Amino acid sequence: MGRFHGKKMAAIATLAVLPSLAFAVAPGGPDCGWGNMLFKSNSGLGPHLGASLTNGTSGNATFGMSSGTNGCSPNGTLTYGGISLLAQVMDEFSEDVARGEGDALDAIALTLGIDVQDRATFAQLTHDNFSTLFPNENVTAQEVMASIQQVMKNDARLSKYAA
Amino acid sequence: MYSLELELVMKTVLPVLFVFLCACSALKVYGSADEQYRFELQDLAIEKTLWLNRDWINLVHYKPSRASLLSTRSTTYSSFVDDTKFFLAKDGDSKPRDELLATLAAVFNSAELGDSHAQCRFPARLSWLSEQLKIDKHKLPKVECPLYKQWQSMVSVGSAVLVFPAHHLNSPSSMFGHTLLRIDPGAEREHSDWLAYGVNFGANIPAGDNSLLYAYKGLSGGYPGQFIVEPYFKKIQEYNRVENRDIWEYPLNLTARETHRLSTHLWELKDINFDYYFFTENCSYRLLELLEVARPSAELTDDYWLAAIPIDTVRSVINGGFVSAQQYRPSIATQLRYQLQTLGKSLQPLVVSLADNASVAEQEEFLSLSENQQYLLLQAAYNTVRYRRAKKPRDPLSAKQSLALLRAISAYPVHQKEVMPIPVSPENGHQSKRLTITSGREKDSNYSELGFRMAYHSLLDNRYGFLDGAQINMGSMALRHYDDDNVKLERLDLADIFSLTPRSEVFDSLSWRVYGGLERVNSEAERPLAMHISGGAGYAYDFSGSTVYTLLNTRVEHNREFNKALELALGAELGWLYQSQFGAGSIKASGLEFTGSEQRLDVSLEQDITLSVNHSLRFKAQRRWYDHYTASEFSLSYHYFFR
Repeated sequence: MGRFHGKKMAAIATLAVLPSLAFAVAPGGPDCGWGNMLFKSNSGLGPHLGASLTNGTSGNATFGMSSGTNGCSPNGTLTYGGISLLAQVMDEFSEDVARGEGDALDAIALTLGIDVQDRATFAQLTHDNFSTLFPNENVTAQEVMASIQQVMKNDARLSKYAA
Repeated sequence: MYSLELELVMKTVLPVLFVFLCACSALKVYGSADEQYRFELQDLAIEKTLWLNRDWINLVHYKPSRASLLSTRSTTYSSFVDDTKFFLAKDGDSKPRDELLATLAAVFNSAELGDSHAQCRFPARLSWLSEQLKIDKHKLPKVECPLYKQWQSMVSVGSAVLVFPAHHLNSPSSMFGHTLLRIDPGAEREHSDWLAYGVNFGANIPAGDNSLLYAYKGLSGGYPGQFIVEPYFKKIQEYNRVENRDIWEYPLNLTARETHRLSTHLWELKDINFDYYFFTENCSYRLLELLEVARPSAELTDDYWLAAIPIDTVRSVINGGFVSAQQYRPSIATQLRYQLQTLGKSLQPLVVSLADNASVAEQEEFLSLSENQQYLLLQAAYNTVRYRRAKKPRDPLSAKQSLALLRAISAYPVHQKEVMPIPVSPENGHQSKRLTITSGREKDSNYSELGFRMAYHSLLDNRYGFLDGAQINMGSMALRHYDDDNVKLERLDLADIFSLTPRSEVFDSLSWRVYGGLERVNSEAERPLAMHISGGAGYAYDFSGSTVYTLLNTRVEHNREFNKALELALGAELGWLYQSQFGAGSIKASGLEFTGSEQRLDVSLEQDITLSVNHSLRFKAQRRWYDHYTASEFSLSYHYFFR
């Protein structure tokens, strides 16, 4: 009992100081999230102060039990909670494609089943076709994936990976 | 019809069954070979007093109760787990012996239970018991565990990485940082860090709960915490991109056996509730427990009964010999700061105008620069937009603007991401607790002072490994002894948080400070112990490597020399904080005017002299002009940082 009492006291004492702080710095209010900034996203809202305070997660905690696998999925359909990987990393992917390298680009290449020795070709190809893949800021993940498949189909080295 | 039949069954068959079951357990009649083997195993476990084994204590998350550490009576246990699903015995949460025997019984249950069978629910317990009792697997019912198998195929645990997202000040929760685990698939699978899984212990949040209520409940243990397994890229997005926290990763040198124990035990904790306490039974503590299950010889949790500060737990894991390497993922803000620094001050206005309008890239001012500079400018401009929009909902205009910048970037040849210099890693910073011995002179009296601070870092402490301009002090106190007086409490600060962020064209940050507690206020008669909450906000600016700031302050104080129980004060503060080759120093002046018309003006100079990571000297000179008191104070302190 003493243990819990002590903790409650500490919590209350801290909270006597925290409210002003919390109001001053609550990041972006209840609507803040890490949905995509550039492209529309369907990954939902992010953490609010409470979530952040306890390092919690709001939303469906699936314990990693989503469809798709940890690693390769031959046709790029890796999904998390029914949402495709690409839809959730569109911002990072577009940035990597613009630059021509990066973690998001690698992750997408991996889910498309592209062999390590062909990754640089994939990076170069998507980089060269940036405007085809991202014609405007309202493009959806499905449309981007269709364009990726299309440019791969037309590439001698990568056509074997196209669905 | 059905109910009639059911009633019949209840009335006739059940009593018979009940009597039969009672007889069975009372007489220990061995009904079958299965049962016989079960009793054999239980007897052997009793003979070996297996439930006292540290591994079992770890697996069921028992801890010896505190009272019994002091008394000589037999140890009592209670489990950290607050969830009946986790226990097979009635009082399993407090009786390790019952829980062990119940587990041995449950693994013999009918295989038809499938996924809810103890063999499927508790693979780590079974595997440990099998080792200890040399259980013959062929004598156990053969149970299919489709869910567990599916999970194993998705979250394949080949190796693990301890992850420390460093602290940032603009969210109270992250003040001390956070820890989670990343689990990577085995070497047989091709791997991308982004597609690995993050294992995070946190509170499980009901939708639509009020934020502040949540904050309170989170601190006081009102919400259950659970282990949550999510794709690691979500964690990178959350910390690196939204919260602007640098991520430090420490790959662990677990053996195949150890990772197997980790993964099987993790499964046992799926959907299991622990009470969550911000200070003690938090994310970091739970991860230490997980690592103790993986490597039973490690003793990581023993030192953390009062508070588990994440970076301290990182140090424990490193000192425990778990860590073989280190990686760094800078946040968007850190990358942007580095890019701006590389570009130099003169080009920063151009970054801002590019961020506002990508077509600036077609103007002469831009085109006359070298290709490298152009590229860096575009990168910095894009990161500026991302930084500004990080916590806001998508808006069409900045989306259009971002795409225009990316299109401009894509017109250049493929570039590797610039390699940032890696800063001093956080575990190499000074320790969290601080002991201070001070000798000083105030007006005409000499004093000596003993101070203690629970956590964590103040602006003048050795900055290496810490975020610049972030002061987080919790639970600090000082006892002072004047030559002609008794030892008295001089100060007790519950919290003292100061965020000092220089503004620039790109970073339009507010600086702020909140602190409160008890402190003696100098006055003519005696020095009364006042209770206060103080805070302020303002702007800071970079002044050739040092920081100049100004704050508007407010203070609510209870002081028995006041006419009213509480008085409010308003005031202002001007300060200069600099880093020298000896250590940090500051000069500041602050004034306060109370509603009861008392005025206080303080001017001080402090200089820290860093001796080594965990030792420093500090000189302070202060002059006070109060209504009924004007005097100077000088002091010299020695600081020792420890854990």
